[in-house]
Amino acid sequence: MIVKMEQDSSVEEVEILIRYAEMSEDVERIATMLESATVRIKCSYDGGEKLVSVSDVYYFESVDKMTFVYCEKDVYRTELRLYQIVDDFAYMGFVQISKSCVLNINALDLINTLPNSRMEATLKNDERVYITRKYLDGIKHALQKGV
Amino acid sequence: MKRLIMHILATTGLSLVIVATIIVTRSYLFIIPFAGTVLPVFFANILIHAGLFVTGKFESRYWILESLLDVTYIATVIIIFGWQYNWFSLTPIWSLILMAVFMYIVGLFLRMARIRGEVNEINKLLEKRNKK
Repeated sequence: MIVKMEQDSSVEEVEILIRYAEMSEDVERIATMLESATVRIKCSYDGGEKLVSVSDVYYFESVDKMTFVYCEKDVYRTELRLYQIVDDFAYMGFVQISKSCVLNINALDLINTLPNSRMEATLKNDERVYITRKYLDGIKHALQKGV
Repeated sequence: MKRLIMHILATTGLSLVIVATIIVTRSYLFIIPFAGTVLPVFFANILIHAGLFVTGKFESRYWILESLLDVTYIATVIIIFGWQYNWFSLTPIWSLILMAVFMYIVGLFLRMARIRGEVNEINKLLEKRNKK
């Protein structure tokens, strides 16, 4: 893939053109990633607020009716509920992996099996989260679809 | 649904094999009318799988709690059916519960093997995706 960048002071918004010979899963994935890079959610931390790019989120976790946003190193809070996250960001590769966790499959490195048919996902920052077996099919389908 | 029916039939079959083994080894072969055993065992298995579907919704950080809930439920169904259909005159209650635990462990290993297969498939997809 060749990435070309061009400065044009006359344009008001960043414009990205993807030129391809044939539409493929990879092309679709690149387009989705570019789109998701501009989707931001309002997050709070230690009294402050920040807009976090959804593509930077590794996973969302719900604890005591509060939703936490886990990025590579930082943790924030959001007002969004897990069901809203699944509904709104599934096309970006967010899949539910347990009752309380929604994972960005782009941050997923590998899955290990544990005793009693449990699983553990290792993320690209070496963090580990549990996967419940009933959500395994969802992960597989998302990967097969090439989200 | 198809998978659930298959599981019910499989565990019913396994239960009957165990029951038949007990009957033969204890020379009860001509005492127990088979039809009187098959249907209750089948219904008990339906009830067990329906209940396990519900208990499967319970998620705990400690896997032992989930297993304990499953085994307690299975034992309860067996005790109720055993009391209703007079199974305890044949086999002591503890031996029926041991049978249930044995079947649960067999099921657990089968489930683990299936999950391991699915996890391998997912890891291959991830590897392919990450290479791109």
